[in-house]
Amino acid sequence: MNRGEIRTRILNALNESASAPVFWTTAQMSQAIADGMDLLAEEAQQVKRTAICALQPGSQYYSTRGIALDLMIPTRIWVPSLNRRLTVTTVGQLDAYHERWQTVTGDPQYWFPMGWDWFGIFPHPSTGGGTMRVDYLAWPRPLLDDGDEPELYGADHDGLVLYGIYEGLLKRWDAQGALIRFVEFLEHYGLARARGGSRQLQARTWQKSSAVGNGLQNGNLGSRY
Amino acid sequence: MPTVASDLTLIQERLHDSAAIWTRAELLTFYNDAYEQFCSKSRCVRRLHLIDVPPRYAFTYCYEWESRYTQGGPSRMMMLPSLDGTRRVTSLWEAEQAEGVTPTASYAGKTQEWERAYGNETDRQFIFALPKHGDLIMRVAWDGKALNPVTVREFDHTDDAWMRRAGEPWWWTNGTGRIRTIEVYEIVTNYTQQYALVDYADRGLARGFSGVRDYGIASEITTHAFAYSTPADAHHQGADSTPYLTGLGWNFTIRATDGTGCTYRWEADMRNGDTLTAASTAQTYAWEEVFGGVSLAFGVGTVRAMVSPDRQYWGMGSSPSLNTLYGGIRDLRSSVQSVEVTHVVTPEAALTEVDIPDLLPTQAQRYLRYYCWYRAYVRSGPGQNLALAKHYRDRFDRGCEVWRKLADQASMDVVIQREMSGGASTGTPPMVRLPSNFEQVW
Repeated sequence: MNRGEIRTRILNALNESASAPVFWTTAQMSQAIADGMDLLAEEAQQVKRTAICALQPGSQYYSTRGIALDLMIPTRIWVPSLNRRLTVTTVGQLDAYHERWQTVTGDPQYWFPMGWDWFGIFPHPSTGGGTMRVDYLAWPRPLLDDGDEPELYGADHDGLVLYGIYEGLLKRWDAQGALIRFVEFLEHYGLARARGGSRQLQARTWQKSSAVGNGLQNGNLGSRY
Repeated sequence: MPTVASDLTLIQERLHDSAAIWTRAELLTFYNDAYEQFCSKSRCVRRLHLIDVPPRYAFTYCYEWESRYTQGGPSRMMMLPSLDGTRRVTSLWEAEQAEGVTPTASYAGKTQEWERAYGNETDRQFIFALPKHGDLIMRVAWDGKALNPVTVREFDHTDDAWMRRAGEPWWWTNGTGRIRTIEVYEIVTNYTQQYALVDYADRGLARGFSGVRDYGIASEITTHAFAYSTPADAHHQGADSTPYLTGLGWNFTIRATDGTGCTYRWEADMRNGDTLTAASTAQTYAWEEVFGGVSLAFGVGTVRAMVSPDRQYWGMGSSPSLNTLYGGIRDLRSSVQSVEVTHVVTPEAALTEVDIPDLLPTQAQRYLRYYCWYRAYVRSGPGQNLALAKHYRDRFDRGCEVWRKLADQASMDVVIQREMSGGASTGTPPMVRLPSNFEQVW
């Protein structure tokens, strides 16, 4: 389904004219569809991208805003020159591993999130050169026109229709009706998430060792990705 | 990114209100509250904050009412209240004196932390004040080393003079002080000067750097387009008339104190009445370096980035304004011998309609709208709709939860499990309870 077809379905469901709606403008409907796409991307984690970032001399921290504008969070960092996937860890683990880990230089082996818009690598190279391949969950590309199709599995396009109806009912102040549609939408993004991560393992219970520096030696630190 | 104004318009459309019930100013208040709440609850915006050792404060004060005028900056009450709060003292003996008790020997009082480098031993706490927009401390380090968080009770139980111990910092605590302050122990008594902005009031943004390290300027403009000799030439090339030449001009003369442009140094010395200096090669263009001229480098405009193979200069911005990180350097700090706080931050100042909430990505702005609708619908009076209010509040809370996970995707849920000690149960067996219909035996 393209944006025009999705919008027509939404307006029909709201008992509105698809060609000349009165209660909603086409811009508002497009905004609702865009919001639905963002929400699906956030919860179902289907949209993935890759960006390349040069390793800068002496740099430990990298701003995700400087890597890609559509970057939601990094999920995998690969250093091509080392043929190495960096293991995700935390600042707490690094503190336990090395008293002054920020001063350690060398080929990077780990990365750690610092917030939604920056992350660090450990150790950090003192000489520049080489790249990081950053695989990330992305925000969906904005739809350019009514003929443009969302980057979702076809079956998930129906979820966008439900979300649009939900937004329309909210504008009508019909809380009860909106809530019903929203629950249906939630079912959709559960399925969308399953489709997007069909090779992903179920959540497991990890037990941390109490040994200092555990997770930094053998790369067994658990991650959601 | 959409501005606050465009978001407020979306909010008004959903409310079916053109400021008859909810004014634009009220919605802006909701929006600012939403921004702060989202940053605080999701904990997704984290920044570094570096503090010199000994710490400095934007304001210090002696009486409580003075805190009214500290403008929310890092501040500290420097004195101790006594005599029912009517007196302020710096040493404990002063309190005894004020209450008519014979004074006893006490440790030196002080009003600023740098006095530790010059004064006698003091028993005043070693307090660091944090900025107003700091919300939750994630980590405190000194000189790159993480400090262990402890409580005052733990200090009290282990050392009767913990607040006076001088040495290398190992611990930090919220202490006994006010909100947005921490204490660091052991105490560093020597004075470490970090970067200092010189002549900030007169000269504006940092134009150059000096210190124990070597600094250089790299500019994409490697040479100048033309040379000139007097300010009149510059005006002639500039805004006063249509310029004959375009590009960067360079005044190749040496200015004497009376403003005269001189080609050689000795000419300026002569006009200044100084001892004449041996002449160096006069030059007007950079390529003349090969004939004895000096190397010419032009730092044009303000500093946009600082790079070193030995350390990273990391830009930090938390102000709600357009393109926060594209401005000039307002402050420069070092982690060497300093306290480094990693903390969750909230907006530093309230947004206006032309601002953008740039601490968050564009996609998170819809959660700010949800919060505004929640606040609008929950308000008493016309337009109240508690069912919608609850729904929007749920959406906002869900957003905070999702973003909290997204910003901290390396952390694991830790399952706390109790274990038997020595393999044998040491608990008390439960008391026998008989069913209510059990036969009565007495």
